[in-house]
Amino acid sequence: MLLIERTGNTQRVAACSAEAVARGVRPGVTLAHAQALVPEADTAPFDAAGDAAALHALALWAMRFAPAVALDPPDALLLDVTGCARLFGGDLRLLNQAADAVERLAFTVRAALADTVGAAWALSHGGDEPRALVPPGQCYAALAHLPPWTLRLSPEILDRLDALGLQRIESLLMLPRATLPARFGDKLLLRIDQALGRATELLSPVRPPPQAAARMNFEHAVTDRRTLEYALAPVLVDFVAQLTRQGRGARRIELSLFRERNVPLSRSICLCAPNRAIGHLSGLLRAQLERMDPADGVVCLELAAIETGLIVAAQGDFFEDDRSVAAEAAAELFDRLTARCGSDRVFRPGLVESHRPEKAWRAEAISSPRSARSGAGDRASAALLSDPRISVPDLRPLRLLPRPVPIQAMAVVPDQPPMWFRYRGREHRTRRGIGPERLSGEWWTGEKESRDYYRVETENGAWFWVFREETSGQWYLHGIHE
Amino acid sequence: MTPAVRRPIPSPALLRTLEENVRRIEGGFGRRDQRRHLPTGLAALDAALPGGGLAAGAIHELLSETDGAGSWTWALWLAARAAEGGLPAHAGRGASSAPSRRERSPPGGYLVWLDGPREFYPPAAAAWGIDPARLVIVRPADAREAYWIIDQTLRCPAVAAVIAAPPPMQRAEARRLQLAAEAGGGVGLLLHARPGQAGDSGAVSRWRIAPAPSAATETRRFRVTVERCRGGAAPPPVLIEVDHVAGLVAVSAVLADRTEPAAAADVFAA
Repeated sequence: MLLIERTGNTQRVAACSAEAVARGVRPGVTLAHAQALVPEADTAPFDAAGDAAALHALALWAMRFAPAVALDPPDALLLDVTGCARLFGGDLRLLNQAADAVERLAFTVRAALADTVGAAWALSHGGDEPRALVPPGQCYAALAHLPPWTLRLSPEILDRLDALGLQRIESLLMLPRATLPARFGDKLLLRIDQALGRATELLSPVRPPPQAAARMNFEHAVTDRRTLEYALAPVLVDFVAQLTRQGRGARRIELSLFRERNVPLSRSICLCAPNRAIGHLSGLLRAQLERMDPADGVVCLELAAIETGLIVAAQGDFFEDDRSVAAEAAAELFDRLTARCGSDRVFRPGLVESHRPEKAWRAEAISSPRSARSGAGDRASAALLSDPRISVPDLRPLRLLPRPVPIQAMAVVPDQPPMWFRYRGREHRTRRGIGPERLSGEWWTGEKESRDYYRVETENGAWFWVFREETSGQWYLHGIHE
Repeated sequence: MTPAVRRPIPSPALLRTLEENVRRIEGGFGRRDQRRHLPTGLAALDAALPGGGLAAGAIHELLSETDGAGSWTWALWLAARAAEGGLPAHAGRGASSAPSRRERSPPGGYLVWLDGPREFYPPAAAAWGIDPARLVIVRPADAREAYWIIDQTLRCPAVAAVIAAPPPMQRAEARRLQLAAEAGGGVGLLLHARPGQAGDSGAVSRWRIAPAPSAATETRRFRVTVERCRGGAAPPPVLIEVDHVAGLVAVSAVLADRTEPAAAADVFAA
């Protein structure tokens, strides 16, 4: 089987079947040459656009294995499987499941999983095995014996490498690194670094089509925000109707204003829970609209659901009903707060293991899927709760200053709490001190300094959390048992 | 000679209405049939508080006498009781009939903490039995936004408690917050850093929190005084101690008087 493409006056083979390859046909040879080798071969025109569309469709299908899938035309897909292997029971299983699934679609597949896009590409295109798994940190070993073309190099660079007789990547890497850009251009170095993980490579993932989208076109460009607000209402009604038909609610909505002679303006809103209540969405979208400037003339207003979720119909049970009403009210409240304050100022805490008390928690978005169901973050928090330092009340102060404040203090002996300290212009005599609790620095983050913490009670019965830096001997006030 | 007047026997419904009117005149709030009271978990307080606990659907003020007085701890404690819907009251030290703090009831309400200065430390709150999954922290940019957030969160029926250092408010604004709390059914706990800050806010109760010297248990103590509460007489001040197992316990007045501040050197030597 030969697929033929026409370039100028010659017809060339664009792709051919394995049988033809066995008889010596290669993509790129002329049709006459190929037919001389395989006279009985069927021929068909090569459909580049159809191939591209099929690859795109396959990319969307492949999103079941990874959240980010990028196209690498003409015939490859790049999947960012960071953190996905866990869900499939390991890297190898993920690789095999994905490759098996593609084979079931009647495709021939070569697959590789590696630390870097470059290494995975090289092994999938030029490796010995149809499936290759590169263990973490083993990129160089896996690539060493492969030919240089697997580094995704341009024909010019390959010609020059060929002229030097460099047949393997390892021999290429023996050349002095500093001389490479001058001899072969910057691209070669970049590709080497990308394959070995020294340079990052960003994927531009395909985006699934929105599950609901509604738009309104304007005959004349609109520059008035009021008009856009009026237009939003019917568009939203249409949008919500689409969601309702699917039994779904939006989790992320993009509001776009297309302009006559400029790039579109877009703002998106994230929702804590799938929602399709017109009143609620309208309030959130209008707030976004207020921040968009229509001065350039808007020709089209569009709403698209980037992410949706099923809306489970409320059960008949009265108690359950009450609870789902409350959950909905909570989700809508946090949506409103997030829309006005931004997600960095409305969040829930997640506990994190850390030697530094100020790093023992982090902000987690309320709209993250984690908050919808009890996820990994909650389990991590639950595990940390068994740590006595976190589970016993009052060992840590409720009020922790964002930055420890240096204080003047006096201790009789280094290993004892201060007898006296001055904070915010007031002298505090201590009548009790509990400690020290030594919290050593996290050397791997560069904070090596150990701290000796004391809970001290002042004369009037107020409690503070102070520490002495081990090497400098400087006292700090870090928290107040407010 | 006056004819004998047969006094009508008031119907129970009428009595309830009259009672309600009296309470209203005396400074009640909200609709009586919707009014709930959340036990604070400290028997001494609950017995003396009108309604047997902290009024739900209401604004309460907490005044801190100094840094480290314990107003945040008390606010968090009350908020946790509100989120649980109120634990069965348990007496002070030693009473074990109450479920432990770790036994979490099915998801209760949310607890929202407004933390403009970025000082609230969630791991410490977790140690007080607050489920991080039900805790939401909001950092208002300015007083206007803070007011809006308090109003919005109080109105939400899923929020059990809002804790905030309140922005400066007009009387009408304070009244609006009270109405918001009545609509949502949760409690608003407003923290005033200095006693002078609180004006006449129309809050349902006002609490003053002052530190108290610790005793031999080496755990923190603070004194809680109800300065004002609507619908009844204010209970006497209660001395409260942190207990690593039960959380907060009330210390009896007699015991409190006996605790002498120990000389600092003695304590350190111990």
